[in-house]
Amino acid sequence: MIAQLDHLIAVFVGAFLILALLVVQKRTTLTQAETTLSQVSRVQADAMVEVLAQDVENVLTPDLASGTGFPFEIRIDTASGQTSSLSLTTLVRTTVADSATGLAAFTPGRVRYDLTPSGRRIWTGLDSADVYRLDRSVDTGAGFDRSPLGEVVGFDVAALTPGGARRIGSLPAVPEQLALSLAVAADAPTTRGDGTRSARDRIVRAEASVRPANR
Amino acid sequence: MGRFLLLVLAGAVIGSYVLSGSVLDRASADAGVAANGQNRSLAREAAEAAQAVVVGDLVDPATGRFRGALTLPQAFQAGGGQATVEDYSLSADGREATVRVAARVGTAAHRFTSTYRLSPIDWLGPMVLETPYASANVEPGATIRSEPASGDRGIYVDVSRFDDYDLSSFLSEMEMAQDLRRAIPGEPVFLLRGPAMAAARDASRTPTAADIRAEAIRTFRAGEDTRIESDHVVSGTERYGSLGDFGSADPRIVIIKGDLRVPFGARLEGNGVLIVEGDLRIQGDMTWEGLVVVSAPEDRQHVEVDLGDAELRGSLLVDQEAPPPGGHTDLTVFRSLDGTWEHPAGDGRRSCDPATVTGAGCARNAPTPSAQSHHYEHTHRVDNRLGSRRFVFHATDNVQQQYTRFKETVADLLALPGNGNLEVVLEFANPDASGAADYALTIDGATETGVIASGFNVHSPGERYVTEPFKLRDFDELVVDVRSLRMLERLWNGKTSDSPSCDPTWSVGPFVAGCTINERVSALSHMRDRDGALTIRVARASDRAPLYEAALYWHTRQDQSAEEEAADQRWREDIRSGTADYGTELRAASGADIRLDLNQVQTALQRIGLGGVVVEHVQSQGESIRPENVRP
Repeated sequence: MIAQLDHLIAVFVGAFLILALLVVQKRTTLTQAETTLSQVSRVQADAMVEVLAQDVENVLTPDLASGTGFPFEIRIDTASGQTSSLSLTTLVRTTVADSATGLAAFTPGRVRYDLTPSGRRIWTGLDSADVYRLDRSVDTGAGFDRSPLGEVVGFDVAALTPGGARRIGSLPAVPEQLALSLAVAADAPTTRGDGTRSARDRIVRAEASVRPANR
Repeated sequence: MGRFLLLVLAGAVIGSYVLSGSVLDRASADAGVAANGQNRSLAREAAEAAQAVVVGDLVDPATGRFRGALTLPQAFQAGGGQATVEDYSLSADGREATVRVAARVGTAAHRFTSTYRLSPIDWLGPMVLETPYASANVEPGATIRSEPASGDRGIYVDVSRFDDYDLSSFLSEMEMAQDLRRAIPGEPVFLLRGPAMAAARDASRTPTAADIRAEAIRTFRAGEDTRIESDHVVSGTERYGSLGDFGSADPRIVIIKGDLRVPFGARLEGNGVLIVEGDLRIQGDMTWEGLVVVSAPEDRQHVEVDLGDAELRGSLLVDQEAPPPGGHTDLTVFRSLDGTWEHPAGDGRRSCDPATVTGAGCARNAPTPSAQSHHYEHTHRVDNRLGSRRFVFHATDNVQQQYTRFKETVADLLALPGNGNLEVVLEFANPDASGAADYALTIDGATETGVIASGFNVHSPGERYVTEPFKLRDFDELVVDVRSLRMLERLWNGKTSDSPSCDPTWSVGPFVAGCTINERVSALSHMRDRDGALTIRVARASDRAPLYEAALYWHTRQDQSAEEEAADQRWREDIRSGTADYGTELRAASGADIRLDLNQVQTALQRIGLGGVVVEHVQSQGESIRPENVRP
């Protein structure tokens, strides 16, 4: 009798532990997926803001940009509050760093960033958000060559005066400082079977504060 | 069954461990990605800071040129990162420098490649005349021009003094302009006054002749530069420094304290700053590169600048005051040997007997403030008595002792118990009213010269107008040579004072409400700031308590106004009738070649520490790079 009871308890405990393990595994799998997505978003956002920061950092003054065209122009979409376009004349990196010298080549050119709605909305964890496509167009003398930089849920370029005020539109001179912000999000993963979505906020923001080197 | 249970438990533990480890790894990697983004921002800031450090090291202050090699170490800390100067190079002419600097912070690095240029200075033109009136006689064939020419460059005449002296009633500004334009047809002539002239100077970074002279005196190097204390006639060939273009010249300072004449057969050549405190007459040969400054004494009514066939590469500046007669210098001395100054007058009159407080000079203790006339010594029209505006504060016997009472004060101070090693400082108070005075200070046998408005060459830290402490017994001599009466504070009887220490509570008797001062000397005795007058002060070094003060100012007494007005009328009539020559007379022979040369002006300015060098940022390029790509 004691032996049978012992077996019964063992089966019961074992079944409970296996069940617990399955729950933990399911949660872990979801967390892993979320973390991976977040990491991918982070890398994507950082890469985009780095490209943007370099263009802004190397923006050329009207004197230096003679022949290639100024202005420095920021347009805002009043409905969404997002920066809808940014145009500038800058030093465009044309090669990757040389392995021997560690140096890359740059050439003056016009760069334009355009934000266009993709028509999609994604669940970001706490809410849903419109997805935009951010394109970067470069003209180094042969006309604009447009290529997608990535998908974002937020894009903000703030040209700041020394007093901290924002300036938009076509600026007569290179701003003293710019605050750049990009928000990237991946759609929330669901667990197989029950379709559960995590409530974790999945928006990743990459920001940079840049003082143009040629201001 | 027990074994089976143990196996299930072990599996659960191992599974949990593996899963939690995996989650931790993921979280750690996520944090690492985020940190890398932050590091890139920090690396950019560090690179900016490093760039600023490098810019500060680009120019050699001794030569005013880009250094051949930076003095910074190749690697240094800046802005929280490890900075590395990857490359530094100069253009062939040495006027452009390109520097590549990178900074690492953690796993990120940022690089700036920047080009800088030595900005060429600007200058008003080949001639700048600060004179109440100018006339010119230039023979055809003479060259007077700016190179390179520009719409803003030309012959500039500051006509502020024409206005200040109210010359328009008997001299014509239009005729002056026409005369100059007729004489120098190839170069624009601009007559500007006040703010317009100041704006033109600012825009072209052209200092005044007085500023150039002041800096030349301040930066004078005994043994290398030349100072001649009288009129000078060049004999044979005199050479100062060596001629040469940017960077190759050897600029010198030459100061002639009088007229300079280069007679037939003689030759003067040099590079740097030539200051002539009188007429300049070139009959022989002269080649000068840099600045020639004709700075006439204030009372010189007519200044002759005869360039003959001189060759000048740089610029000529003429500074002539030639004011109408009027006023004189007063000197009022105060002292408080214990430094207490219970009253701004100090210890009171020299002739007062402190034991009885009854002498004629004891008004310090008089019952009403108006009767408290209590300077230690006062000399009216001291410059008329001395025959000059050169004031000597001497520790030993000197004829001026009777005016400054300096020797007497030094002796009295040293005689006080415990004062044998008394340390003091010398101060110039109200230096804005310095009368464009030069000074020569000798302490323990060592002499420094300078201009009061610029302060002491060797001064207390952060205080240009205060010497370093010295032992009073080591003091030898201070000579103050006032060059312009009109640049002293003008304190005349009847003037309303704007001094903060002008207090209506003592405005009785000779004073009236609102601090209109009718008795100047008494008023100074009440005013701690000496009503803005230039004050030579000896103060105790330990607590800066003043012990002695001598105030110098431009004074006019009411009872002398009729006399001065008559002198002014005579002066005007003499100029109007042509009885007296007046103003600056400029002459040049057909072989004269006077050209604005910015390189030579820049070299001369650099020599006297007026900069002339501006590092201009041409272009920068920033990039985020991999730390392993930083090249030492």
